[in-house]
Amino acid sequence: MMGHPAEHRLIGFLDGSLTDTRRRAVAAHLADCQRCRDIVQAHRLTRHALGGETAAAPIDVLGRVLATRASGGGVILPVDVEREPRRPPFAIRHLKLGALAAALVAVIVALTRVPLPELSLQRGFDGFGAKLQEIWSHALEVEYNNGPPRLMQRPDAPPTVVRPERMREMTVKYEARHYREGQLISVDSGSGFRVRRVGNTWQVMATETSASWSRARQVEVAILDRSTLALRSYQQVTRSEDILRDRGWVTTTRLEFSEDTLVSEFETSTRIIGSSPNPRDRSDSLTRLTITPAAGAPIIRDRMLRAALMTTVPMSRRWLGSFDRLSIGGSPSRIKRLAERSTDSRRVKGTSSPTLPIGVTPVWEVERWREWGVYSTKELYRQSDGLLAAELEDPSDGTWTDLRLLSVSYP
Amino acid sequence: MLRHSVGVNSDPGSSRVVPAPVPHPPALDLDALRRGDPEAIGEAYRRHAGAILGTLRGLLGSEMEAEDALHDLFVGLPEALGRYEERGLFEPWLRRVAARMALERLRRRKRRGELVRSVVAPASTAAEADLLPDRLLIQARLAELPESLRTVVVLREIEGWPHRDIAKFLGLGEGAVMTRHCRGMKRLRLAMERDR
Repeated sequence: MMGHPAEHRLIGFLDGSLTDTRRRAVAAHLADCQRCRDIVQAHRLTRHALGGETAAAPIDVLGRVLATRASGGGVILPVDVEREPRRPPFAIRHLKLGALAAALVAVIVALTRVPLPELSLQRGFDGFGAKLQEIWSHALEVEYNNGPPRLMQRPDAPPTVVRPERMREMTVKYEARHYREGQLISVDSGSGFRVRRVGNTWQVMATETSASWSRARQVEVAILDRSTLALRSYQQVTRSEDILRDRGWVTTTRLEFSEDTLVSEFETSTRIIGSSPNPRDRSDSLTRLTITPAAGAPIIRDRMLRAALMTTVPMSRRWLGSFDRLSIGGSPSRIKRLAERSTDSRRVKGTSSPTLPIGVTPVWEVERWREWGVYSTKELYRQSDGLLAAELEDPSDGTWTDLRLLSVSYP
Repeated sequence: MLRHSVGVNSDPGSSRVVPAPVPHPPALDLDALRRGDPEAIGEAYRRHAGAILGTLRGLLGSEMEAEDALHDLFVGLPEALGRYEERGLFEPWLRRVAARMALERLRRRKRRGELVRSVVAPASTAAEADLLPDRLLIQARLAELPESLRTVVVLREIEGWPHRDIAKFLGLGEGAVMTRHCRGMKRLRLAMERDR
């Protein structure tokens, strides 16, 4: 007696994907076999249920769509990607930092040679500018310069952000959605930065807002696109604000670059003002990082430095070896830890897309895995429809951040 | 008796089924949609969102996430339309974008190691299942399938894609797609039989 056809043949019979010969054979079998007829009938019912009438989509979603758009929100859709980007193979992911850094430097160097394209303008920036002004008007500045914090009056000038060299004056708005275990834990909108040139000084004013306490510790990165620009000053304030819907955090960062001198230093500081329910956020910290370029191999040195600055310096010893001197401020244990691991996971966590050369690359899709020691991050930058988006993952605390560049405008 | 024609004679006394006036809605104003005109977005939503939501629900296995994805889809649609070259029909294009978006979300979810949270309440017993119409029941059972099978089943059975297209889309071999389709359908069949 002939056996029963395999179930995939019965499914194929039902959806018409069998060859004529097989279809006839299955049909002949079905004529005599109640069991297989039942299976086919069950599949028919299943298919019917799957492909049944569709109900109208809820109207409140449409309401949210229109509200999001009205507030200047945007989403980049995966229009052209026929095949989804895949996680690189194990071996690639576990390459030493040196190889990754070299590749990154090559990419960055190549990209910085690309002429500045026009990014598409998106309306809705005026609101952001006003928000930024509002935040700024509330913020006190705290200056860290390897010493006790010094409170300063807010400057009269409107906050601005810098982009050296090919960077023009511009204003950028982005949104970050933070997820943990699949749950959206906060949406930081109203973040962004502005770039302004004043005489021979470029100013960068970056504002990071965060509705979640645990994101409060964020350190901005200097954007440095030209080795002849020095970071002249750096100020950062992190404080709680009621500007956001809930109690949120606003981090303002002010950077100034001078065109007169060579790069010699990069400083970054972070300090949490206020208390947080998250123990990780409770202690203040002060970090000073000074990188002095090595004497030799100026081109390589400059490129490395540029890359280092752009990636907030998760450095390996090998990488550090490219510089004459590295000094790190902070508590002794912190210095020791950083020296041992040459990395600071918390700062990497805070790295955000605007620190990358937005506007420099017409088409840029970089999938970069950094995995060593205590953390791994993945950053995916892509430009689509004239906008740049990034995804940042931090498995160490289970957060996933979806960053979307909402708008870029030029004066 | 089945009648496949959709139009009926306007004369109420006549039983004659006339062959055509197939209601053909005016084409969407894609230019207005590109401009982000709320009316145009609303019209596109009313026409296509229901079917797309079904697909998203199937792929993502969660009503909440499906609605979230639907929201994102229509928020980003005007800008994305800049890449739509009108070489094919709008709706299939839109549905492919929706499917890609859902797969991106699945990818992210996988990287996060997140478990699928079925919001379509799974009917755990046959008694509970009796209370659910087939349509809801199948959604619950579909949501219980492993993602690798569910994706293929949705793209094949709801979206009607050929195996070849699914294979290309997912970066799999055609044989693997057929195997997953068969496994998924078999599991669904067995689950539905248990429920009945």
